[in-house]
Amino acid sequence: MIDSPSPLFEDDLPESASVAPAVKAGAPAGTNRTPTLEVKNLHRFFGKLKAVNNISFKAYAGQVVGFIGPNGAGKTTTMRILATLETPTAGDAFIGGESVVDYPDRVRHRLGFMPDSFGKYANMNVVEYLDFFARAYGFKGQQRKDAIEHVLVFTELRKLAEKPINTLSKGMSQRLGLGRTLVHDPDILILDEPAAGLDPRARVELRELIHLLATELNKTVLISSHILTELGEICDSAVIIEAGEIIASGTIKDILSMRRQAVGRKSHATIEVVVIDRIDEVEKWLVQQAFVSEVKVSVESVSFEFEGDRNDQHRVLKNMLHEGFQVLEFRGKVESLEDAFMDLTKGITQ
Amino acid sequence: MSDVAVLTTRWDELLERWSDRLNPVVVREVRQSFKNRIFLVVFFLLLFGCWLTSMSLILSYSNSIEQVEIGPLFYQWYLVGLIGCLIFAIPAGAFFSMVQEFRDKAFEVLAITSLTPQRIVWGKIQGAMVMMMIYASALAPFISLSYLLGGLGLLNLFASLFFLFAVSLTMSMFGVMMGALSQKPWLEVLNLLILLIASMVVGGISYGVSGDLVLRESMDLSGMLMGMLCFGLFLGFVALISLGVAQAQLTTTFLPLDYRRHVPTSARTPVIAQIGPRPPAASHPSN
Repeated sequence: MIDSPSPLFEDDLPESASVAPAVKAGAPAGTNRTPTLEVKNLHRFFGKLKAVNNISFKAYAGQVVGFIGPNGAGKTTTMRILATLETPTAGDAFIGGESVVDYPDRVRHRLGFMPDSFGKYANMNVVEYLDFFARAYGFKGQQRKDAIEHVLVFTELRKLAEKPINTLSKGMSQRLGLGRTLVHDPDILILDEPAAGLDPRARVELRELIHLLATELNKTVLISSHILTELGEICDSAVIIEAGEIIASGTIKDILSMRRQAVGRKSHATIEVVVIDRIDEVEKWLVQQAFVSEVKVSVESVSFEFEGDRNDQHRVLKNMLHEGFQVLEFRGKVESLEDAFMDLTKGITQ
Repeated sequence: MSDVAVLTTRWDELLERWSDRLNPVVVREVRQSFKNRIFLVVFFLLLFGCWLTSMSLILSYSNSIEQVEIGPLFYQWYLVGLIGCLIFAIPAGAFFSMVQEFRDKAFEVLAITSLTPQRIVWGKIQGAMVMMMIYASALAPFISLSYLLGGLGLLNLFASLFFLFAVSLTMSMFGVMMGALSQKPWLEVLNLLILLIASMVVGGISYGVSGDLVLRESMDLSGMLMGMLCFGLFLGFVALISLGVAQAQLTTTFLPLDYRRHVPTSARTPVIAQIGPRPPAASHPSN
C-alpha cells in the first residue's frame, strides 16, 4: 500500500490480519451522509487464488467512483459480488445499508449492473427488450410504460425504439445496456468496462450520460475501465486494485498525491521543453539547474521533473532564453490517473 | 378515429392489461417466436403440407370417399405433421431458448431481476405450451376434416391428442433441462444430439401409440385408464426430474434469492472465518 490511512473498520480486523487498505473513496468532507455503497473486508478465493483479498471502500450518492486495475486484478469479481452474482469467501458489501450476502433480493432492486458484455436476445426490438426487463422487475401497466419512456428519453434511444437489438451498433448497444440497468431506477450503478470497444464519439456520449446520472439523478456509479483518461475526467474518486488488493483509493487528487509519494517526488510538475536545435546542450544545461531532476531527451524535446514553484519555472524559462536556446514550447505536463496507475501498480498478474 | 381503430386500441389495451398477469418470460418467448423465421417457416410448411396431403388424399379417394370411412387415414397423415411440431420443433425451441439465456452473459442480467429460477423455467414451459396451442389451432381444421370423414371416435381422437400434448410437454421440459445443462459449446452440441435422438425415439413411439388409439374400434375404459395412469406417472417422473435439474442448474449457477436461508453464516467463511464478527442481525431486519 502506498498511503497508510487508518482502516475504517478496525473493530472487524483480527489481530493476525494486516491493516486493511480501507479508505473512503472520496468521502464528502464535513458531512455525515450514509454511504450508499460499502465494501467491508471483502475476500473471494478460488482455491489458492486470492481474487479479492481484503478490500474495503465506501461510496456516496452522486459520486462516480473509478475502479481501476490491470486484467485479473479482481475488479470483475468484486463487481459480481456487489451485483449479488457471486458470494464472498469472507467479508461483506452493503448496498443502501443492505448486505449483498444476507439480502440479495433487496439489494437487486437498488442496483443496476452492466457487465462488460451482455446477451442480446434474438428477434427483439429496443422497446420489447426494455419492456421485458421492466416486467422482470415487477412493473405493471402505466408504471411500466412510464419507466420505459423515461429510459428511452434519457438514453436518447427513442428514435431507435423499433430497431431490432441485434442490429444496433456497439455504442447504441451500450446505451441500451445502460438503459436496461436504469429501468427500475436503481440508486447504485455498477458498470463493468462500459466504454470497451466504443468509438471516440460513443465514448464521449457515454461519459456525458454517466456524468448526468451522478449529477442530475444523484446516482452512485462504480465504473471500471481501462481507458484511464476517460475515467480521470468523469470520476470524483477512484480505487486502484492489483492482485486482489487495494493499492490506493480516495479522490483523484489524493491518488495523485500518493503517486508522488510512491515515486519519492516532491514536485508537482513534469515539464516538457521543445527546442529547435542544440538539444544535447539543453540537456546538459538543465542538469545543472536547481529544482530540476530526471532529465530525459526524446527526438525534439526534453522533459524533466521540477520541484520548484511557478516563479521558479518562469526563472528557468527566462534563463534558457537568455542562454540562447531556441525554445518553441515550454509546458507543464498534467499528472493523470494513467500516470498514477502506472507508478502505483507493479504489473502483478495472478 | 374510426370504429375499427377504436376497437383495435381497446383490444390492445385489454391484451396489455392481461399480459401484466403473465410470466414476463412467456411474453418475451411468444414475441420472439412470432418474429422467428424458423417458426414462421415451420408453421407455413405445416399448413401447406397438410393442405397438400388433404388435396392428394381427396383426389386419390374421390371415388370412394362417400362409401369408405377414411378419417383415420387422413388423421394418420396429419399426425406426422403434428408429431414433427410437437415432439421435434417445440422441445428443440425450448432447448435453444434456454441455451440463449447463457450466451454472452445474458443470464447474469436476468438473474439480478425479480425473476426466480422457478419462474424463468416455468416461463419457458408455458411458452412451449403457447406454441403447442398455436400449432394445434393451425391443424384444427384438418383434424376436424378427418373426423367429419368418418371412422374416428371422438373419445379416440381426444385420447390420441391428449397423449401427444402430454408427451410434447414432457419433451419440452426435457429440452429446457438439456438447455440449462448446456453452458459450454461442446455440451450444447452433445445435449442437442441427445435431445434429437430422444425426440426421434419418442416421436416414433408417439406415432405408433397415437395411431393405435384412433384405430381402436372399442375402448377398454379401465385398461385405458390404467395405461394412462402408468404412462402419466412415467411422464410426470421425467418432467419432475427435468424441471428440478433445470431449476437447480439456474440456482446453483447464481446466488439464490435467499442465500441466508440456504447457507448458515458459519459455513460461508471457511477460509478466514476469524475475520471479525458480522454486523449484528438487528441492524438488518429479517424477511
